[in-house]
Amino acid sequence: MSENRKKILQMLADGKINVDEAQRLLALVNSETEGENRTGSVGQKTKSAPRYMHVIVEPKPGVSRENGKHDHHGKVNVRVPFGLIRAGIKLATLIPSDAAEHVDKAFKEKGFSFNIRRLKEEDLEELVTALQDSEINVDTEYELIRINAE
Amino acid sequence: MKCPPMIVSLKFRCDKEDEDGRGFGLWLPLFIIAPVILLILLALCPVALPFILISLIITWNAGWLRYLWYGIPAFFRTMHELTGLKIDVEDRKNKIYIAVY
Repeated sequence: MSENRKKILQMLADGKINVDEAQRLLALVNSETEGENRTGSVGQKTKSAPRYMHVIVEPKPGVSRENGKHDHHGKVNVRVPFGLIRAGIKLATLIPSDAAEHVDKAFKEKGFSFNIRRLKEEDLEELVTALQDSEINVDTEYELIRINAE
Repeated sequence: MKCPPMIVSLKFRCDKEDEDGRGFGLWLPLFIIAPVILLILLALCPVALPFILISLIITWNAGWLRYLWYGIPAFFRTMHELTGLKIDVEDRKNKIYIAVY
C-alpha cells in the first residue's frame, strides 16, 4: 500500500475527513499512480519491480582496522533475489514452534525483538517499495556500506 | 517465468597462518546433477517406501507429517529461487564466492 493511501486512511480513521472526501482523495491518488505508470517522465522508462537486494561493504582505501594481531580488510558483496527472500519467509512459517522460540531467543540476545513466525510477505513488499527509489549509504570510519534494490 | 538454477560457481581460498594460501574453484552443472539425483531417488523409491510409510505412521500424532507435507514443496520453491544469488565475502586471507546462474 503506498504512503499516500496510508495517510488518507489514517486521516479517515482519525476523523479528520469523511468517507466521501477519502474516496475522492483515493481516486485522485489512483489516477496519479496510473498516469505515472503509463507515461513516466521524459527520457525515463517505467520502472520495473526490483529483483535483487544488493549489500556491499567495502573497506576504505588506505584505512585499516587494527585488531591487535592483524588488520582486517573485509569486503562483502551479497546479491539476494527477492524471490528467494519471499520463499524463505514462506519456509519460515513452517518452523516448529520449539525451534522458532530458539530463533526468537537468539535474536533477542542480539537486541532484536523479533517473532519469526509473524513474518509476512506484505512486510517484504513494503521494504521492496521503499528500496526501489532509494539507496542506503553508510559511511563509517573504516568502510562504506551500500544497500540498494536493483 | 524464471529459470531454475543451472550452474553454481564456487571459489574458496583459505589462508592458514603457517601455510601459503590454498584455494580452489568449482563449477557445478546443476542442470546435469539435479536430473541424475532425481533419477536415483525415483529408483530408490520402491525400496524406501515401506520405511517412509512406517515413519509417517509413527510421526502422525506428533504432527510432523504436516511439516513434511508443506515443507518439501516449500524447499523446492526456495531452491528454484536461488537463481541470481551471489555471495562474495573476502578478507586479506580468506575468500568465499558463491554464484548461482
